[in-house]
Amino acid sequence: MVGNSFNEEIENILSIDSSGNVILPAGMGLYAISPLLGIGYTTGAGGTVTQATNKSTGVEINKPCGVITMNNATLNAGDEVAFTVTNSCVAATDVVVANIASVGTAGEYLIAIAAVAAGSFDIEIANVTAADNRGHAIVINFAVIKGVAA
Amino acid sequence: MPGNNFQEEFENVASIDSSGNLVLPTGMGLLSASASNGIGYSTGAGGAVSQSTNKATGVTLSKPCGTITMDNAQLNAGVEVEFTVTNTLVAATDIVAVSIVSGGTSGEHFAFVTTVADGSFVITLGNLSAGNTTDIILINFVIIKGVAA
Repeated sequence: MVGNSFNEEIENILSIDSSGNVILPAGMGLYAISPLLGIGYTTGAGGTVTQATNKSTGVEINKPCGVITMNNATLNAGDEVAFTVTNSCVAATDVVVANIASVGTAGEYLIAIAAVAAGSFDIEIANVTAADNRGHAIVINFAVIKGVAA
Repeated sequence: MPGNNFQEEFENVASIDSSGNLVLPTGMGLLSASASNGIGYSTGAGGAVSQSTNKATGVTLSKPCGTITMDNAQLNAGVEVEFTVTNTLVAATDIVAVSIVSGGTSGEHFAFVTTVADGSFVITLGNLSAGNTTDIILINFVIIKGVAA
């Protein structure tokens, strides 16, 4: 591979699958060296959704990344709650990264992905304060990272 | 750079390093605008491994992504357990993202990466429920390469 012109190498080794995705071959990773720009999604890929009713109510957002605004129902100190995000972009072998974007005091909540399936994932939120029942509309950023088991 | 055609831009700016990796230069990020397809790994990149003995037993899976099937040993309520994933592809500056796929009732368990080192990472699993569990928990992971310089 090394020694060919870049264009020749790319022409020979990259492919586009039936879904239109660029596929790097076995043996080739992809690295960015930009100290300013990241790797991820840009405008056009994302979406937003707001949770109705309470913190266990499911939401639907069929985008590979986005922002979920949770309902402001009370979550008691020491309690956790899970809700399902229906999302057609998700496969059972994917990893979903979720971060709390904003709400309350940093450190009051923990967030994790509690389940992943084809077409959905579950987000779990725990109130880890000692004695403070909270009624925040927690804002969560998520991104789907495609994974495989073979 | 904007305004050139794709081939011209790539020819001028991207490179392939000595390990055969496609390297984007300073000033170029990698962003997907697809509203339906994600970014990540495709078939051929992943692997699977099952944990033996108990939930603290280490596993080895030297792939950039994959699925770990945990042992069904009991994890008591309010207790957490950690196990090491030996993986030659991991560097100390990388990020490993994990998601619980299945096992028990959704919301009972938390999975976090609590240590990353050259050649391994540690997953901590907590049982936040009020009862002891004996679930076979499946965890997906992906390595996202990171650097500190």
